[in-house]
Amino acid sequence: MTAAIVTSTAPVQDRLISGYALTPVDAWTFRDGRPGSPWSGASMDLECHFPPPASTVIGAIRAALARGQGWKGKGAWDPSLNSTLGDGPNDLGKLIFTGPFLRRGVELVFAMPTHVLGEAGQDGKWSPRTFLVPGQELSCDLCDLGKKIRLPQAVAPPTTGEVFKEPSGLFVTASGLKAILDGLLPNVKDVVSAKDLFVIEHRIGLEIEDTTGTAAEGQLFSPQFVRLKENVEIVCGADEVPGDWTFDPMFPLGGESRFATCDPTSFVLPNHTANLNSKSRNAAIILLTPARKIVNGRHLPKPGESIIDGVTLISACCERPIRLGGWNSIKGQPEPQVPHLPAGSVLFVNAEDDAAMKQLLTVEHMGERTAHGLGRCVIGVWPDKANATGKSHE
Amino acid sequence: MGPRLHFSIGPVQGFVSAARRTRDLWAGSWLLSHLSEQAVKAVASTDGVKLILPQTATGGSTSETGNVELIPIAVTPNRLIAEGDEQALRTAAHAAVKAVQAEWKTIHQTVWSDFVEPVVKAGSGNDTAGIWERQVTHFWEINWVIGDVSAAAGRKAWRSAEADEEWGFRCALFPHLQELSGAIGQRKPNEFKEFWQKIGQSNKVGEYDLDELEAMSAIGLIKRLYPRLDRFKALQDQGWPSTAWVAALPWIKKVMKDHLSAADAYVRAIEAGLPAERIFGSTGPAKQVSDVSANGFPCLDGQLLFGRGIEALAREKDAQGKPKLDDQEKQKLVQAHRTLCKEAKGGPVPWFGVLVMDGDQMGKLLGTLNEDERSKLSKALGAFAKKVNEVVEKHGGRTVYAGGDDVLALLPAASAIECAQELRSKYIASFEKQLGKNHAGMKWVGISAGLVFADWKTPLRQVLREAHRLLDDVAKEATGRDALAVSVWLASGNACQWSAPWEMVNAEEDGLLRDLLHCGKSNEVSAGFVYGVRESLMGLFDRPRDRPGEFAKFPEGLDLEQMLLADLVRIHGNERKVNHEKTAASLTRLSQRHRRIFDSDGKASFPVEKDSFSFDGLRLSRFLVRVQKGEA
Repeated sequence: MTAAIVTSTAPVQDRLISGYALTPVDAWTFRDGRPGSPWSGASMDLECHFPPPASTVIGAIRAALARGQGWKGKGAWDPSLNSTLGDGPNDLGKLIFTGPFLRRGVELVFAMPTHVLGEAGQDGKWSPRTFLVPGQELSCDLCDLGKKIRLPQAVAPPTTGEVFKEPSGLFVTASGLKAILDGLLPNVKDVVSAKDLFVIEHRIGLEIEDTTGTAAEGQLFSPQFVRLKENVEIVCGADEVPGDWTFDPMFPLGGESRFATCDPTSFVLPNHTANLNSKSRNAAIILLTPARKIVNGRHLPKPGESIIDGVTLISACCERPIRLGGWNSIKGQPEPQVPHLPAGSVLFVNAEDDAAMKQLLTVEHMGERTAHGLGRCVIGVWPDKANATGKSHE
Repeated sequence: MGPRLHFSIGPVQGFVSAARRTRDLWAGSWLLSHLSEQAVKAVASTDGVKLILPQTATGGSTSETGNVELIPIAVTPNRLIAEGDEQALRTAAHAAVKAVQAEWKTIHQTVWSDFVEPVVKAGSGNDTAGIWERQVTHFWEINWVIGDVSAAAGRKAWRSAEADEEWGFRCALFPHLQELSGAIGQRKPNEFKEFWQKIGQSNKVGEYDLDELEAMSAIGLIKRLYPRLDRFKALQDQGWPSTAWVAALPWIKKVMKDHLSAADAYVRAIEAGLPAERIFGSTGPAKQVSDVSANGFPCLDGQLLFGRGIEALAREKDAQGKPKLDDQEKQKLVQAHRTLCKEAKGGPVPWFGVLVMDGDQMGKLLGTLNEDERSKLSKALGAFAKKVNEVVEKHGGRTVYAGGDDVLALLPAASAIECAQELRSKYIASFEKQLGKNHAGMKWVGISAGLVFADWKTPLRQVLREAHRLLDDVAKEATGRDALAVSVWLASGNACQWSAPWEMVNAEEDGLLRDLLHCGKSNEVSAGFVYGVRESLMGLFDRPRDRPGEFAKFPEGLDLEQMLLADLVRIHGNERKVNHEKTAASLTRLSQRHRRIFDSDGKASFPVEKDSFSFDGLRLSRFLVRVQKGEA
């Protein structure tokens, strides 16, 4: 077993995290890896993905820090900065990042955990209705996942006329997430849709001829941009930044070198639940940021596989993996696109004894590159019928 | 009810919507349907297993006789349900997986050996074989479970797809996958160019198969080139009309009917300037125009039917980097096109429609059916799917897929709404025939539609994304299902978004479709009138901006209909007061929000929000009529 779990030595406490808040000066664009340069078969449709991957955000912050220390913005920075800022996209030096997350007003919002099911009301608004939890073990070879599988099953199946939907594209506030960790459905007011946080705008772009400064004939493209709603920002924790370092609070972030305004900030991440069942030793690990290579180089453990000693995967609720990469501006080439388990994924696990359970409760991250902010997780209960049906938590 | 096998193949949207051309869209849908058909056949031929959905293995992508006769429309759904005893279902599941994998292997191995292997053997590419193997091995997600509906839902929630790291530069169709040249490191245009030029030089790759340096992953290249394989020749012969051709179809028909000699002259001018393979698309789509044999006009590449299409062609290069049209040829063709348009009193409308439809509330409907009636549901869906293509072709469109309660079709703008309307009628009629009009479940039967009007040059992926957003977010969620949602899409985004439940669109006496066409046709509702109304009303609303799809709240106490009537009288005088009253009433209805609301017993009502106001109905009205007049 080659599990890649980072554990802290002390039980997890409320964490006040210092870092930066980023807001767009106008709008941002965060592209996928689709080729857009003329030599590689230009594509006109340039899609924007939001929220951006951690590598994009921390890359921009590190570059801003380096510019504050005299870096000119091209090529490698002075090697004397490497011990603090690292060298290249994979080495962060001493820096440790948390997130990035979205914050609306004073409260963080997170991808809605995928074990929460809801129903669209008359106004089209999604309301939480029940949870998925591991169902009965299938008697024998009845599923492509293997033998003795426990597929996710609704705690309360829909009654006639009810149709439950997954929380696709939805977010939940920190207080809503705390309710979920305790096995309670979040209140409707804690459910936040993507359109309450940002809008995707479509524009027309054109290529400018280097020689004439005029529009290049026929080189139109359709980029997308993201515009954040009022009081919405990206926050990213950053530890080990030298206290006396300063930098220009306006710097480029994402595609087209669009500017972000950066302000120091702090935020509190929700803690693990205190209500885990010590008899059953069941727990639900909820990802707050995408996780990379959780077990044996794979983004998703297999049923029955150990994710730390004595803690095995029983079942899971998750979307398809997302591939995250980025652009290495020093080498002028793309970084590899690595499959990540998306934020909001839920891994249902069981600890074989109290020691394993204790160890599980020290887990804050899963997988690789945790200093990049990847694999941040919180641990909650397996919801049960008593409090996970009907009305939302008030 | 005994145990059931729930089997599915994916990704669906991720595979089908990865399209830069209409051909990609068709090829993706068809291949997925073809693979699903292999699973259906394997399950159907397992002893002790009965297919529930689809009900039979026939009517799929290939004929019973093998590979020669192909049905060019994707009709087999990617999910199947079968029942039997556990052991038989287990055998069927394994057989289905094996059948899908075997067919996929045959296809990808043939594409490799026909198109890629010769280039690799000639020394090009950097670990191309490794990239190929990695991508074809893990692409399809084949899931199955034996159990009840909740087991199927549980399996769906646990997305266990395997995925590998992808290095290097990206595929033009599937951006998460590496392109096959394997060029890495600092940009190496030569290595990259050499590989893709060699692929394009293969005598099996046609003029339109790959653009200059259109780099593809294994999955992208298979999707683009498998129709070139000998065993799929019949599919290739059917052809795939471009968005330009679909948009221009009403004009093509008009020119063929009334201006045949001008069309002849234009074809001759093109033949003089371009080699044949660059002139004509497939004759397949042109069969919709009756006089194909009269001249080659209906078979012209859609791009050549538009002046700016000719200009664009002159800027394009083929896989070898040669311009598709030189400057002198371009000038001649542009002039010939102008002459034709002058003769025909106008050029083609550049707008086409993408229509996506999806059955509503299947879960609720199933809840009202007994075991016997559930098989009738399968029959109703099967009967509907069989009628889709006939209806779409009647309206001048082409079906991309028609599987179960899902439809995707491309249509000329002028007939797209009527097509959606007729498909919805057929859907309801199919269920009424099977269940009976008065069945308790009929209140849940409905089909929502998302229809996007876009210029033929708009990136296809953008239009497909918008169509699915309209279907899911607007027709289903915001309008209450069994509804039509329409948008007019510009490269800069959504210019107009309007929706209403089908009952209100179709109503005989005061249907909203009638209002849309009446207001657009009426000389009273000019562009100036709409602009004037917008200017005078905006200041009264609770929001400063007029955004497509958003409704403002109209101030309490104001009578919108009377205000509009006053404006009409002010502009046009009081002589046609009866007309003005009718127009003001239509405009008012088009401006208000319409949606369906269900009570706790599932009874639908259609309350009109009297104080809601949007300009989208007016915009759509003017757009539709201009399209029908050939002016837009």
